[in-house]
Amino acid sequence: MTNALEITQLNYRKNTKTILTDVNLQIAPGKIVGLLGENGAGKTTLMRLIAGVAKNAKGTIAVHGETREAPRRAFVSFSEALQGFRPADKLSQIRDFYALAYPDFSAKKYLDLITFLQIDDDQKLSTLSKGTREKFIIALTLSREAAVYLLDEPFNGIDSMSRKRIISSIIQWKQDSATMVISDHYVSEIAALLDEVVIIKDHTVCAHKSSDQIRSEFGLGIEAFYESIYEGDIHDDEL
Amino acid sequence: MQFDDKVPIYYQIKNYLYHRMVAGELGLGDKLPAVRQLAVDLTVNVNTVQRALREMIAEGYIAPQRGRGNFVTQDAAKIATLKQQLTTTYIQDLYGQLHALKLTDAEIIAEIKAYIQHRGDADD
Amino acid sequence: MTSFSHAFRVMWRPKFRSMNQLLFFNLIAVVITMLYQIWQLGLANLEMITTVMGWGAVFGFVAFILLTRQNEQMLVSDTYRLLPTGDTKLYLANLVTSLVALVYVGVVQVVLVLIGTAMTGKTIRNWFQTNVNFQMNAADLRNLALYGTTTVFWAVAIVLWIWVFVNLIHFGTNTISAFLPNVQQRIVKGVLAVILTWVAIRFMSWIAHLESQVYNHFTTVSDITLNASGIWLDLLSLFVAIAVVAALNIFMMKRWVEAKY
Repeated sequence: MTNALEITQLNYRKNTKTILTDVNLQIAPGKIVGLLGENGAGKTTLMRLIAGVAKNAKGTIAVHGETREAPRRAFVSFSEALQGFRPADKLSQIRDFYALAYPDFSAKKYLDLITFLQIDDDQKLSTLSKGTREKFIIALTLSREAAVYLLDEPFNGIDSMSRKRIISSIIQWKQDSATMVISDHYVSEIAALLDEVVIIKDHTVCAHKSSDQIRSEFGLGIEAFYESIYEGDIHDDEL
Repeated sequence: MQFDDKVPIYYQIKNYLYHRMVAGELGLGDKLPAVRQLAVDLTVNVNTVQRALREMIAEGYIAPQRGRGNFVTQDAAKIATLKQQLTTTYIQDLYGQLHALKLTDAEIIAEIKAYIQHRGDADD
Repeated sequence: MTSFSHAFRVMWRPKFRSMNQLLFFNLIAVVITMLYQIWQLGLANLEMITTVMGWGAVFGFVAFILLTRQNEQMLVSDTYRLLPTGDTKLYLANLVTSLVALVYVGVVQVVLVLIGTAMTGKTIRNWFQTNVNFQMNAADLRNLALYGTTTVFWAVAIVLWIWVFVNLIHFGTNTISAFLPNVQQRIVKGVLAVILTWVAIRFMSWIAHLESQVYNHFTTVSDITLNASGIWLDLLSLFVAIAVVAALNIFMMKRWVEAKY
């Protein structure tokens, strides 16, 4: 069976600084994977490389076996920060953009999602609070019927009600066969959601384990496991 | 429902369903909620719910019906055994802890009786 | 994977929208000026062509500036770079939609002039008689058509050249910063800035020269001999230059230039 995501010997430097070295990662279809690491560890960069918007990396990235950049983008739904839109744009105009830009955009899913997340898409982008903006980004990202979803820190700085709604919408609207990677540096609230955990440290993937493995082998919660790796309590040879 | 992050989630879901079956909230032959609905209700991954259900099907507590969903077993004896197992587990646990406090067996029984008596009074 | 026409539609929409907003203000400006003229000179002496052309020049320039900006921003925003389109198609669709949007603004101006002409048929003839030598025979008309076409091609070429050139500067500095440490980066960027300023000044003076040439041809259309081949050759070389720079930009985009995030 083709892996949803297969990264081999990925190396990436930007402005002569090393961001990622020798990253190898395989993720099976249907999994929800937590991508954990400190701020600046390279989580966003890894996602942008998978999504095909970060350039000049060495190594290969295959999404459903597709290594070429442009066709790969068609498989990947990335929670983009809406940077190409103007503050005066209405949310419904942004929806129209998505509907036109992505053949796999489902108008029905979008409607279900914004109803569930309590977003009124008659508003202007500039009037949204941080939480609503993040919810709207999630609604757009999940409205595509993609093979791989990449959610880049979707819970950053938003209130707990929005967070709960986002988590529920992920459970409800992720297709069974789709793979989802969620990056975060604070894991406890999504721990119950994750099939697998990938930890990035020192520019590379230093651990890739299933959540159950962490709980049964190490007798630790995911948060505790992540912390002990960062604090050096668990050594590389134990992983 | 709150999960203990140190224990595999599928295991906790199984426990949760065992309890509901023994307590009769999920009666013999009752239909279980759909997998995705269970996942939403418990705020867990669909795959995890599936794993829990798969194991419970293998254990015979749940009988899947093609195209109709999952049902609690019709076998009353099986649920009775489950109830016995759960009871034993809790008593073992309680006994172990009280024993560690150096209570004698007679004292343990007396304490439990007294507790039940007191609770009954409080309820009246 | 999406086709060019798909990428075109996606990138066209925001540009079309901002051009429409601009044209809305353009119309308001024209109407207010006309009302002022009616109040000052009376309805009988209303002359719309100068007003439309005057405002047309102002708003045409603003449209060009806006499109230059949009043309740049789209290529460095994740929103567009994430489209399931190859970088070549994305780059070309961006360039073509910008051009079509500018042409659209131009066409609206022409329509406004035509409306003005229809309202006061006499005026356009007067305007031509005072500004252009209007004693034309059939051959002159053909020349006029030829120069009209040449002018349009030149305008398109110059606009495209400016856009690909701005892209080149942008992508070039972006690419350099991917390779060099900070200090060397500053030196190289400084040198680059000097060279580019020089190129820009040369280009501007060349355009000014070209413009006066074309204008001379246009106003003295009856007595020129048709020596257009030089102009066409220049035009061809400019288009080749545009193609080369565009190819270079696409190459940098494929290899190094990332969106800002």
